[in-house]
Amino acid sequence: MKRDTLLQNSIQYIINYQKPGIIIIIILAALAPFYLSPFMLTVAIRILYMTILVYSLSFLARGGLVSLGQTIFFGLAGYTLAILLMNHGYSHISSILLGFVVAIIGAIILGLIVIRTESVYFIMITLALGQMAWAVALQWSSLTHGDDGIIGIRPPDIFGIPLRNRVYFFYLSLLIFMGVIFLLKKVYDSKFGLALKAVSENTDKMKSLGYNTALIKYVSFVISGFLSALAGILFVYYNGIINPVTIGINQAVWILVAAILGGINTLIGPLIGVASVIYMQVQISRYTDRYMIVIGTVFVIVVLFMPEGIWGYVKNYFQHQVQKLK
Amino acid sequence: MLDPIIVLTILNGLTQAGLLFLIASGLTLAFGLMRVVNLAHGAFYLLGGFLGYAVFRVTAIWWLAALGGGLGIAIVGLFMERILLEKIRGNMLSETLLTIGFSTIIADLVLFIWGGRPLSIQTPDYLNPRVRLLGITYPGFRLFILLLSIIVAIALWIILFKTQLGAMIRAGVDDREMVSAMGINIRKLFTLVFMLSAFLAGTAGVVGGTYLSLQVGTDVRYLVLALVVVIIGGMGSVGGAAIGALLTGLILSFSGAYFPQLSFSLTFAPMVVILALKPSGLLGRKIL
Repeated sequence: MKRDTLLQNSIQYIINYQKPGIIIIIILAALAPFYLSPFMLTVAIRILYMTILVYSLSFLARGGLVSLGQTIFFGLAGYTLAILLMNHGYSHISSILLGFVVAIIGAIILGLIVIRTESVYFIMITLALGQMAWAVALQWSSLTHGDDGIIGIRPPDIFGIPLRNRVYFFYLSLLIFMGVIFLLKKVYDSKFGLALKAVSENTDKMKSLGYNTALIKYVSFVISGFLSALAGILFVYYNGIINPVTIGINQAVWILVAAILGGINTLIGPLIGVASVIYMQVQISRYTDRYMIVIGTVFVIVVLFMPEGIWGYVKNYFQHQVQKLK
Repeated sequence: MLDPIIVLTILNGLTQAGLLFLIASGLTLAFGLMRVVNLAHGAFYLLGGFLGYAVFRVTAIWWLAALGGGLGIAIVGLFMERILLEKIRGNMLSETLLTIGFSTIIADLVLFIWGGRPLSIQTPDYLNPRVRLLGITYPGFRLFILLLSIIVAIALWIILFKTQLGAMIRAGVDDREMVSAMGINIRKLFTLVFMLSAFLAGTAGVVGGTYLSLQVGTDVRYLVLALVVVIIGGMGSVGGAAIGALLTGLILSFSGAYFPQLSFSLTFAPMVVILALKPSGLLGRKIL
């Protein structure tokens, strides 16, 4: 009996008091370069920017819109940055800014088209538009260098700190990542975030309550475009390359798989999703290149049996345990 | 006298349209009844083509290859519909996600079995006579594709509008609950239509694999083209798919001939215009 109470208390504690847990995670993350191998550090950087990209999807999905076109803005920002920097000699600052501007203008224009649709139509149309962006990147070779893409982009020094160094790049990514989480948390808890969630649950009711549901979705589409652009810029600086493959369908599906695996309803879900997909990739690719068979199968199982993703499943499981103990 | 290049471009466009119709008709049919957007449809096309390739290697009979590709995929469709989609019926989003997962698995499986090199099925001579037409010589197999797609269109029309089965399907599209309340086994109807849709995709894969080539990546190309076709025509409308296929096929062919730099991107132009003006597509009903 006493043991049960102890267990119950500790589970309750974990669920109720997330703050100490978050602080421990932040400290662990900040110390990562000291205990991770160089290879694992590159994996960690990859997890950070890919999670930002997945947030761009999960943020939209909160409003009930599942997109296969988030790579469009990733690519718009990444290509703009790379082309201005490498082919036209722009400075880093103006290339980055223009990268964001082009991506956001893209989101503002495409948003007008896609926002007229919902549910599976939205998936289909974003898939088609994403493929269109991919085709432009592939075929407009005078601008994008076609299949080869643009290579050789190197991050600048900030205040004398060389971001070329992996450790510094990790800290930069971590900082940006925490900023994104902080902002998303604010947005999720804001009136706008709650309205977005309500729209996905019952559009008609929100409409009759006088909310402009189309505008809410439109704004969230543009915000998600910004997140995707941010991930694109980090990606280009870290990998030094952008080519059609990086914005292709496989990338779009990858993002979706990671989002669904982790669960889209929480902020921690996408991080868990990205980390588990990358972990599976790293582990399986030791034996075979055909890891997508395994990841696809795991995805199908999650869709069938864990509608809220791995994190949602774990959370429900613990909550269930607590209730049983009571 | 017509310019031979224009004649050739038009004929190629019609051939492309025929192939696109074979793929898109199944997609739109399944959607109309079941409200499932099968994003594994492109993977069905690809796997069907490779199954046909395998059958052709063994038997060297093209018709058996086409049949084998179609039936093989129909069985895959049966499995997917009965065992997987059934579990989450009614949740459109989950159903669509499931088809994406399935598509990923099939594409990787194809890569595992047949590798990443492009393969193509040999065109049998009796299906590929050289035809003199409007002042040019044209490969007969391409005309055969056109003919086949017209036959399929007529067959679908007869099934949908002249048989009792078709009446049930059309009623199911209009009002699923009412149809099952009248004692029609809608479950069986779903399975049947999904299998028919898969069969069409598989056969189209063999046809496409003979006309062009098969390679991982082809699946996405044709899935996206088929989506463009059904978005233009209106989801669920077979007639719309025919119009969409015609438009898309001709654009593919003309832009390929005159603007090769933009050929694939231009294909999306009518879709964007139609979405902006009439989101439900040319012949589509109100969007859900």
